[in-house]
Amino acid sequence: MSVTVDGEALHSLVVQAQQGDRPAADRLVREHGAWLRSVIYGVTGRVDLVDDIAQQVWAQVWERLDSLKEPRRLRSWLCSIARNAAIDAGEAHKRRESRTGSLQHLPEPADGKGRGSPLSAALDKEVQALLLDAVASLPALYREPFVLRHLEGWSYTEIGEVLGLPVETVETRLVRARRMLRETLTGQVDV
Amino acid sequence: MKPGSPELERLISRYLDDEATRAERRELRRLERSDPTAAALVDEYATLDREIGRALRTALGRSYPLPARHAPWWRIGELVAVAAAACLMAMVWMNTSRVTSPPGGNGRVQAASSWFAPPAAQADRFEPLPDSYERPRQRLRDTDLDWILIPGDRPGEFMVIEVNRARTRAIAIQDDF
Repeated sequence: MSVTVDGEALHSLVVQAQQGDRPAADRLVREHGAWLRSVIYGVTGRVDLVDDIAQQVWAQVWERLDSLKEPRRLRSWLCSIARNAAIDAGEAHKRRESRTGSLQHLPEPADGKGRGSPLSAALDKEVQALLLDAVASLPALYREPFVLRHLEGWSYTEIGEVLGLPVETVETRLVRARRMLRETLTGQVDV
Repeated sequence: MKPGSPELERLISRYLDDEATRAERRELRRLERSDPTAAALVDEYATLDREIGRALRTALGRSYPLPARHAPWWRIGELVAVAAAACLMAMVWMNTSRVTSPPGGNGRVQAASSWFAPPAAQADRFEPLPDSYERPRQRLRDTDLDWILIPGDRPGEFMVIEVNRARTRAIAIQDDF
């Protein structure tokens, strides 16, 4: 899990950040920024929206940090802000796209230097686009736990805590997500 | 449990997420051995998981792979064999790269292997203490080299470790590691 501070340390870190301590605030972003991006992607299924929404989320976090009365609940508090922001931004984007038509939204891979020949790099990119499209086509309620499991490596319990779901529900959603992905990709990708 | 049944899919999913109990893992192994269709399904889901995970990490700028939480059981044997081979090679290498230091000579370390730097003319005197690791009290002047002398297996034998200080990193660690 990306959260590396224990309860006491987390408490004091949040209190310091609430008091305007800059290094504490930086540390909060460092330790929670990555998984918040995963939550945002889990909700929207759109890689190209993640950075913008993450920026909005952190702006809201700093505005509302004083209202966090129980610093131990930081993770679920951050998650609810991120999910709400992602839902709003995702819907706004869908409305805009319905007016202007869908644009290509797949980003360049982060390790865009490519591996091997240009042909294999192109094939890799094509396969990656297919896989991401398949993930994007999942309903958000299945995509969210799937993304947190695959990007953060969280256990069912950890995912359940952050998303506010019972462990059994997390498990069922992951099974369904995998089944849907397999059905979607069968015949498209040689797995 | 039939291939394609919801129970098998749930079992595979729990296995891939490293949530399966020992009994569930045993059951899955048994199914894989006894039923090629089940084995193919496990393989298919595992590949799908791996490839989608890679695509997601690449797309979101996460270049590092997640720690393998579901190393297939048959890979564990391979890992043990590789680790054993590495240990064996390290032991052979240490035995062949020992350096004999003649304490009865002029006190300078004479390298018997090309792996170690040949003794420089201005090399310092080492005063090795038996049964302990000892850094030389004086370093060579105007070089980046440092040597550590370790008592060898036989009397009068020492192992010299050459440290290139220009390439040596210092990192802080906690004393409770």
